[in-house]
Amino acid sequence: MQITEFSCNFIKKYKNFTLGPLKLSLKRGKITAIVGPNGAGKTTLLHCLCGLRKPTTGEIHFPPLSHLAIVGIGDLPELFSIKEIIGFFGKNRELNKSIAFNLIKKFKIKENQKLKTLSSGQRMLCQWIVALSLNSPEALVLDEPFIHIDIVHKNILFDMLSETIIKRNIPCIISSHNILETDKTADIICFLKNGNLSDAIEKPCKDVFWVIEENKENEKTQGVIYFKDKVVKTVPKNNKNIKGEICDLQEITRLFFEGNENENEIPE
Amino acid sequence: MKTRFLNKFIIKILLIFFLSILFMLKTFNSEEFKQTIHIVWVAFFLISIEYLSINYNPPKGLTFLLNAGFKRWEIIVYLGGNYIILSLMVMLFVSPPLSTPSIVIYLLFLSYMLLILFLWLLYGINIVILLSVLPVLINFAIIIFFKTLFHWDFYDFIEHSLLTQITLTLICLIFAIYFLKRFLYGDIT
Repeated sequence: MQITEFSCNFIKKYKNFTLGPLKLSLKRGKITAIVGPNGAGKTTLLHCLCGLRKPTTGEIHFPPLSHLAIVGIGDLPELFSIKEIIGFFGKNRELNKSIAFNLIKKFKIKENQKLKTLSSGQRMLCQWIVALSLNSPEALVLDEPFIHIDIVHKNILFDMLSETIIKRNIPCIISSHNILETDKTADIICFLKNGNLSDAIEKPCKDVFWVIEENKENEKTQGVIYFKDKVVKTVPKNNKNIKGEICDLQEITRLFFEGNENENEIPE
Repeated sequence: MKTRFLNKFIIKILLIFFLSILFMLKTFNSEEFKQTIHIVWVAFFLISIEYLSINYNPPKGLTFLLNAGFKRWEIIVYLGGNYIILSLMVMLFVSPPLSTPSIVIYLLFLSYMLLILFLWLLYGINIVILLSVLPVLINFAIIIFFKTLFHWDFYDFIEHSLLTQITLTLICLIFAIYFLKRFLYGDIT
């Protein structure tokens, strides 16, 4: 793997869980999504990138937390109102207050209301407001950033996220277990399962093939997902997911999350 | 999350244990009981400081501060300041004045007040309350509460019990090393 300013190659070990060996490289102007089921190690991976957790071995080339824009990592203090938080950030970091207050207005959040009195979705939106208002973050790190947010605001955020990443030419890493959201936002997708990360799949997924195998009597026997000439999953013929020869990303992910005989196997 | 839960759990258990011994002490009032209580009290006191001063600003809050541009050493200074001011408050206000008041203590007190002033001017009153004043006041209130209710002289028993002094020093050292190591080199979350 080429060592860039946004790359990592490390292992993080816990008593009952090991994340990695994990190689990842982020591209400027692209959104990289880490997709995996609950407990796969997505948050641990992002915490390691941000410097909140130290890898057991290996190295991470990533800007420090004070140079990042984050959503879903940590929380904003509930004693403060969004207006105070904007002011607080503005003293230490470059922040565009007009963008911030436009977003506050757009998301219909009362600027003087303490965060503890806001709903979970509104608090998540407050994190988005701070992240999108920062003038010169070196990267965006988003951990389940659309959780609790309604569909209208989600759609606004999808557009704003893509626009920000391209405009500022910075990398973005986003973790999610929701493939519908990921599919809309991400340019590159990596699957994480049981602490193991797959190779990056660039959309559209040229490297992923879905093949229906048939016997001599033209009976469908099984469905097979190939990733770069390697069988990732086999799905028995009675599986309702065998529909056609092309499998979209949602279907791949659903099959990937489902357990089968190759529970721990992922693309290499 | 797990640590926070454990801390809460430990404090509750200790509180029950501590209160039950207190009632026993009120009943029996022997010297042995007093000695035991002193050690338990010190342990409880230190754990409550650990809980209120450090875990009051839980990892999520620390992540926010780091993201907002604070450096790790700054946070250590502010939180460390809480310990200093707390000790000073105990010594200067709650217990009888020191027999030989040290100028160093007053200088420390002054520098801490300057730190608060600096924070106030730079970040506003909310951050001062969040980082400095609230944890100290809570601890102070706990001391006053026990002092008033049970007529205990915290400084006096520390000064006159070698065992308590050694226990206190060891616990403080363990906390200090753990705290510094965790914040400078380890996992924050």
